[in-house]
Amino acid sequence: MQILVADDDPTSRLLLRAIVAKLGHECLVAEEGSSAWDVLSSGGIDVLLTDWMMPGLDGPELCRRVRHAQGDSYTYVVLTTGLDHPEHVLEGMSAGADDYLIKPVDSFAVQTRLIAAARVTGLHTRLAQTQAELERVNLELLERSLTDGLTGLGNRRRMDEDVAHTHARALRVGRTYGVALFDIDHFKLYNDRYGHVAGDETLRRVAACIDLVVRAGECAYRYGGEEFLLLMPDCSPAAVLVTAERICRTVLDAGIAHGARPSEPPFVTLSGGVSCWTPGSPLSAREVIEQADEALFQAKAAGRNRIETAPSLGGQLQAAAAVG
Amino acid sequence: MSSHTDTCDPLDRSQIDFLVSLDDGEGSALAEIVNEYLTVSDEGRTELHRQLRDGDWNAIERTAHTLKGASANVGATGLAAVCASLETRAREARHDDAAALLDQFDAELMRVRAALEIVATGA
Repeated sequence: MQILVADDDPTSRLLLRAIVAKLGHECLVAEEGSSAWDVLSSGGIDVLLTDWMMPGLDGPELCRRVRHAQGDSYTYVVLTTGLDHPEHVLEGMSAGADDYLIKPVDSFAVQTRLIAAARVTGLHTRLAQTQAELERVNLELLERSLTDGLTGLGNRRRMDEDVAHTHARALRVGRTYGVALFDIDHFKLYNDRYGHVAGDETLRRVAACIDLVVRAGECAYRYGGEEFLLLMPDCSPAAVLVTAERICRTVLDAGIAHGARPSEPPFVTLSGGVSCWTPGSPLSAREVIEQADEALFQAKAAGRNRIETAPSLGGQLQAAAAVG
Repeated sequence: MSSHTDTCDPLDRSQIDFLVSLDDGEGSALAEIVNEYLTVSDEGRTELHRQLRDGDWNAIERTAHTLKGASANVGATGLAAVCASLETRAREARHDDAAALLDQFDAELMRVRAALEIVATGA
């Protein structure tokens, strides 16, 4: 252990240092309370053996500071005092000391305190490690609880939270946001032909295509079985449409064979519907998604492998086109 | 003030033996501590006399306290007891026999220093 001896009497410092060294520990010394505090602040001290009466900071004040500043590691504090001052012992223990030694100290007395010190500091270290591990595992569990296990995209729970947060923020600061809802075309036929294991692999590949197009600040989620949702905060209606179409094309370009579909092309494709919330819109977050869903339905009806826009977005695009 | 302390060994030899046992083979803990004590006690004696002249009882209490601890470390138990009396007198403002106590301190310190010098040479 690393031990700090704080005492203004040089003979006491030498004596304690010799005892501590003889017991096989590392020993630092401080001639008064303030320099002891400097050493303690820099960390790594397992045990403080401190005199009661010192210039600068006295023993009890040093105890209080050690306890107040306590982090992950524990400094075991032993107060050294004369036999004629039992009230010092009580005050020191109340201030945060773990034990005391009567001067002049002997090896046996120091050794017994250091055995207890090793046990207590070891316990605190393990406690801190366990706590850090728990915090890490908690974060990991939280992340898992918000992630879709198959595709690695955000799951429905994360989507609900993010959509609510994005909508609230858009209302507050008057920003636009877009939503795109995608569905894999003829996915039931795909599963029937290739099996569910291949179906899962295709879901993963489509998710990877979407993830490839998504930029920082945007987020993609697995909405349902073969449906995906893209949330684009601070995004103009035109940009929402461009991104949705890019995703559609990326999936087509991936060339995932789909020989079971009744129409061209013989690859896995997406249909998508996009909608948008713009400042002043009366739509709720749920209604924005419902509009994207309606647009998706239209894309399906119009022959699939395409993006359709919700009325809200169409109006915006027409307005933008008129201005342009 | 004649007493027992004037004639018997001013050092508790078991404490000296303990200091010898701390020798780690590199530097003698005994010699280091004794040398430090010789310096500390000499300075402390000068301070006590000055503080008594100045009537600075808070300072006397502190100096006596430090010398009490240092003396006990080198086994000078008789001298440590004299220091403890001085400390108590200063704290409790019982100043009547402080001068006599300081004389006793001087005499006992001389005996301790002489004994320690022999110990240190022997070491």
